[in-house]
Amino acid sequence: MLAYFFAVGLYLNPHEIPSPLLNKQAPAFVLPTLTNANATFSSENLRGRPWILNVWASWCAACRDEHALLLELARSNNIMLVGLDYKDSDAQANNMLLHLGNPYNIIVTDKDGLVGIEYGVYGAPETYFIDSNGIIKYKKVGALTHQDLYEKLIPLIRGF
Amino acid sequence: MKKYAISVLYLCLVVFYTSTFGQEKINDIEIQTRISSLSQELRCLVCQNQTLAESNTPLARDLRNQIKTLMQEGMTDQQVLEYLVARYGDFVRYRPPFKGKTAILWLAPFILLIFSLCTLLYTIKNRNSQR
Repeated sequence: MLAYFFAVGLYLNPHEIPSPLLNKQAPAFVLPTLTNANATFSSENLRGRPWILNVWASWCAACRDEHALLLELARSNNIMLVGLDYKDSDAQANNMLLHLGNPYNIIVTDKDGLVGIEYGVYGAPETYFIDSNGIIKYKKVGALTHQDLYEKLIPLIRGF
Repeated sequence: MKKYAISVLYLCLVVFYTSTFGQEKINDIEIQTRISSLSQELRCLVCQNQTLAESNTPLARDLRNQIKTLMQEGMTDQQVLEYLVARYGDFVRYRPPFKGKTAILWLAPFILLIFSLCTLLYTIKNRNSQR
């Protein structure tokens, strides 16, 4: 019996916390955009179509790791990719995108991390797939892998 | 007369201060105690072996601030706990609730206890009858 528990424990990742938000309505937000801090973008604008939310920051090393995959995703798929720049400075965020490229259709800035709390963000990067009814269908904590992109996200996108 | 006027003025000031700022201070202290006792029960999600009270990660600080805001808005401890569980899941609690998935966690010690007591009684009985 002990051996069984150890065997199961070996394959569990303690950093992957099951999200209670899966299959729930995505929290709504109105936030300033990165391109213009005086303009705001509301998640209401996304109603009726599927979209991807990617939580990132220029200070987050793992976000750089997954950046190439996000560019790949944006190039090869027609999906609304929303970036949530989490607790970051606008200048540094813009600088990172200037060097690495910008995969996002729109970027909103969450300076105090309050929208992050609404989404249960505890470690950037995080990626969510939200369907056309506004329901969270997928959540990944940590950098996206090639496998996540091609076996989870893209099938979800193609499904709609 | 002048002395008397000054004391009255002073008294007024004290009454004014305690009635306006005093109450706020008391509420503040009350909320601080509630935050620290509640955050003993909550796990810091970044450094998972620390409580939210001990941790100094930015997320823990943000969450403590958010808890404070919610309490100032009038939420009870239970409501704040539910707010956090709705976003971060049961994992945020140090004492997991009893439900299907956690039943074995709560029941296993008792099952093991009963099982070992039965084995003990059985062995003793066997030994006695052998004699």
